[in-house]
Amino acid sequence: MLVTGATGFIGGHLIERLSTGDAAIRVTARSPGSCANVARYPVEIAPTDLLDKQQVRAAVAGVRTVYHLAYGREGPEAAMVTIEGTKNVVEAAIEERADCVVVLSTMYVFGFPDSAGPVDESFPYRPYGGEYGRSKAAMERWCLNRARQNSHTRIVVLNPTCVFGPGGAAYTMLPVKLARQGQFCWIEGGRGSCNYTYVTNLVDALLQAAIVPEAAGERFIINDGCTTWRQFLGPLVSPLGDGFPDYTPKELKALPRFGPPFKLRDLISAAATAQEVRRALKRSASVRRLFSGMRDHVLPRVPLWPRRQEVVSAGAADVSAASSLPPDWLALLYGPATSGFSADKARRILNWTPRVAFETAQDETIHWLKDAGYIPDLDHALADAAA
Amino acid sequence: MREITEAVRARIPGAPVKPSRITIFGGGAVTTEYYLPAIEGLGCLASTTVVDVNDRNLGELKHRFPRVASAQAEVDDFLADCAKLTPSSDGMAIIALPNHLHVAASRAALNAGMHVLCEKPLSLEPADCADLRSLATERRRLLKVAMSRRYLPSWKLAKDILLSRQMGAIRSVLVRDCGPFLWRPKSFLFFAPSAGGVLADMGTHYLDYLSTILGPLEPVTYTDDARGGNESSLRYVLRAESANVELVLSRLDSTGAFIRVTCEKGSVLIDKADENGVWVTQADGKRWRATLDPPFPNPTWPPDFRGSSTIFLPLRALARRRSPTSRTRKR
Repeated sequence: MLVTGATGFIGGHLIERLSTGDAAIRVTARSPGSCANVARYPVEIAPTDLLDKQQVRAAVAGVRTVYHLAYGREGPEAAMVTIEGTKNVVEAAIEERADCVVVLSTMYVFGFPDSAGPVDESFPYRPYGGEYGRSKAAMERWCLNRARQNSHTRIVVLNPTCVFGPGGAAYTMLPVKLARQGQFCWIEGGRGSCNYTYVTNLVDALLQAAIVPEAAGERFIINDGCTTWRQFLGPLVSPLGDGFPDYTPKELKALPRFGPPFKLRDLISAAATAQEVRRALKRSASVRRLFSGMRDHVLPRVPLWPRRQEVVSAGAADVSAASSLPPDWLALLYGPATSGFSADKARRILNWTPRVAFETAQDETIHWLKDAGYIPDLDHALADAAA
Repeated sequence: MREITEAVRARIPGAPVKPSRITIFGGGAVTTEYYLPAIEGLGCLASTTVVDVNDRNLGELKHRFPRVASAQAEVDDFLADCAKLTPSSDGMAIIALPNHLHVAASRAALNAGMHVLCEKPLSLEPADCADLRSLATERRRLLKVAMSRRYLPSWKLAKDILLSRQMGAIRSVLVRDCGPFLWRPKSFLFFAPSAGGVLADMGTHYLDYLSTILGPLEPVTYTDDARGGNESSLRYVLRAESANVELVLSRLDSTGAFIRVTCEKGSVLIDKADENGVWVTQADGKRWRATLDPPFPNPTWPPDFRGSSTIFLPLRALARRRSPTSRTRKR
């Protein structure tokens, strides 16, 4: 079997599970630097640029099942990697007559519609999260359409909700890192809905999707359950302090990240004191004469002049304050939307249920965060001190 | 330089001080990031050739170091050609290939009449190391392994302080090197099963260094996270004659990187991020940072560590220079 995106968070957990079986595992990797985790397992690493059809075809050669988790993370080609890279993988799998391609998409393709009932697979595309959501939606549409045109290789799409667990990023390490830096905040008290999926449960769904024939050509929302952001993130960030600020999305966006509000007199004062401007102006003899007159007789009487120090020191203070402000994209991640997501279709067709309960999942995640040094392990520290 | 020349000639007739030729086998990251900048700093680029099978690696390398000669070839093929050269053309081979090629390449280079500096680890098998040492002796050629971190100013200073016993006997050592994997190897062979994991990569530096301070180390317990592949994290407990050693390495988590040596009269801390100084803490809580001045015995070398010392280790090892004095600044 082939796993793309194996060097990432979910891919790493998938590899861990697959390595307990007998099947040979091949993984794609764009560069060696990302392979530290996956190299722990008995896998074949195939250097692959997903935009290179030949390389993708070589990676897929001889494979029966493809788990396609890779997507474009950053850079100008991110959307292309997500969309065209996926096309290359699926087409190569079809040409190689693989049994199945399981494609990992996201809940973000649905957005967060105002709906009386939970969001399910019948809801239309309303991609959320900027280019990430849009490219995932485009990729997914193409995959489901391609599935209808092809009968041999099953194509299945999974739309997990917020995936968390050991090694997780956006819903595990990120809030903790922000809290440590003094940049975490609640959005409207954390009342928004957090639809969550523990990574172990998602891996179960990936494996089921690959073996259930009725899954062919379908997409499935994978969601363990729903709680509030306060309940989900609280145990992760509370060891790092309490009294985190609380903003609405509008308030968060309006935080003074660039210093005090713009005033023309500040601009004139800054220009008047800027070295480059002064050097340029001094090249003119007339300006030099004018400046010396102003300096000696006029400027000390102008209200602008004494503000120079004030602006400089205020600016310096604001730079340091701005760097500890919560980023405005927090409202996108942990926002006030109250949509719930339904995994009934996955339960019905994939025979999937979340095996690990939320409390256990949260405990395991916190345990990992302590072991990895992201949050203080007070119990351990106390035991050390006692010893 | 004359002192080195005389010392070297007395030990190994014909061995170069500035090698007549340097051939680097392997044009990967360690060559472009360490060896070539150091060779450039020592003024030896014009007599250096890089051999690699990968044309792309060589292209990138030539772009950064246009004066370096290059050859696209397999190691054996290139050395077979070298063997045809006259004895006066011998020089130094630097083996910067994937780990599993170190033994064969070192053997081929020694047989071709070259002095050898091999990237660590020389081999994961003690028998291979013994064979190569015998071959080097038989061929009257130097064979050195690039345990470069021994020569970091902070590591050298800590060793001087500890061996001077001014902090009393060593009680325990904790080595923690846990941080995300930041090295960017050019080859996926870095992670080949035969290459070894974090123990072969970083662990060898620490075990080598500690053995020069504590003497032979005996394994007590070992656990790692390998699951059929190469480990990325491990915990290794060893015992020296009078001290316990704990080695905690990880390429995955970020809990810091330091060596802390606890002694009778306090402790010495080497922060991995600080290559030029160490922190000394006395039993009464007073703490100060010690630095080595100059950082390297040769005051013309750059103060930041570029592996310069590694290149001429084989030659410096023969010069028998005295250790520089240390200077402390107390808080």
